Amino acid sequence: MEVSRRRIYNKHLQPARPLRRLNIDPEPRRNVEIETYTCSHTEDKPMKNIGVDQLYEIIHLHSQSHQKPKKERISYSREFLIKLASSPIAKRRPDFLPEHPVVLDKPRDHDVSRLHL
Amino acid sequence: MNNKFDALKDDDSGDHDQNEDSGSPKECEKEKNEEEEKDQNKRKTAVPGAGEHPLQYNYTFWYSRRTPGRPASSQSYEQNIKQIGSFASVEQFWRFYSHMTRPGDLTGHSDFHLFKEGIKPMWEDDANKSGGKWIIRLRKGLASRCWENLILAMLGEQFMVGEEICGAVVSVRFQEDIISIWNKTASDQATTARIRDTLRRVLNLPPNTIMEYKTHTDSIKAWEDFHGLVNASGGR
Repeated sequence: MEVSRRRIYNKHLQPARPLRRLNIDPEPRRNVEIETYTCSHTEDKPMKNIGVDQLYEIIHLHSQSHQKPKKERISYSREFLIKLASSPIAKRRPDFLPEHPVVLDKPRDHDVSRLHL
Repeated sequence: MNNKFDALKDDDSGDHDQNEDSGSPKECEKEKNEEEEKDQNKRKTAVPGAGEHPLQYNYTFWYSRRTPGRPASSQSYEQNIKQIGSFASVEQFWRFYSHMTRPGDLTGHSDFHLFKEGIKPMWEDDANKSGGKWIIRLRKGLASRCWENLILAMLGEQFMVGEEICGAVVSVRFQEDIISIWNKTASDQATTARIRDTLRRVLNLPPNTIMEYKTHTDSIKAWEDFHGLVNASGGR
């Protein structure tokens, strides 16, 4: 019984050897992996230094794939545009306005903000 | 944009001459060239003021009104349409917009047009000739709100179709008002679909509102058919 138990033990131990060898084998591989990781990390470093503009450009490349990503687009939400309507500059009469029935002397003061907000 | 509609900006030419009088002849010549360049730029482009919020494109406001009784030929359309002014920033836009009657308060057969600077609100313009427009017919009372939502979306670059947008129009008619947005390439279905979807999103339209796309070549043909081909060059 003892012998047979040992044999079983041995049999159990035997497959462990190749496992151990497997453990040895991957080690250099793992090192390579670590190396490549560190390599890609060093490559990443300059990526972390990109400006907001470039970031925008990258985002635009992805989100607007069908259009030529020449430069970033200046976009504003409706709410933001409406907010700017109440700034003092936005109420000044333009320097050159033709005389015309649809052109007013004074700004239609609050109706824009009343309409939207 | 160096055409007869530019008459408004001729006010600038006075300063221009005065500047030329100063300086030595040699400098004067140099200055003249620079001045000419500057002047051309002035005529062509509005510039955002300091601290203002620039827009992606410059735009020009136009107004037209059909004179009753006269035949609507292409020529009379071009004569009836009047440039109000150009702007390059959000603030400048509001300066113009707040000094103009709102479309809902207009009377008679009249239109406001807001087009990118350099594009005339006419089918025949190079930017429009292969284009078309989405048309939305509105019952009375909605024009001002819809027009404002439409132009704010256009100025804010909400359509995301690159260079495709040409401009927008609000047309005040007898029993209804019509708003439309024009784009460059009528055959570009991805673009026209995207414009339609953005319109639905930004306009807050009643659910049963019908949207119709019309190519300008169809508009020209319809106009010619209606007017018995009196004027082959097209018009309204």
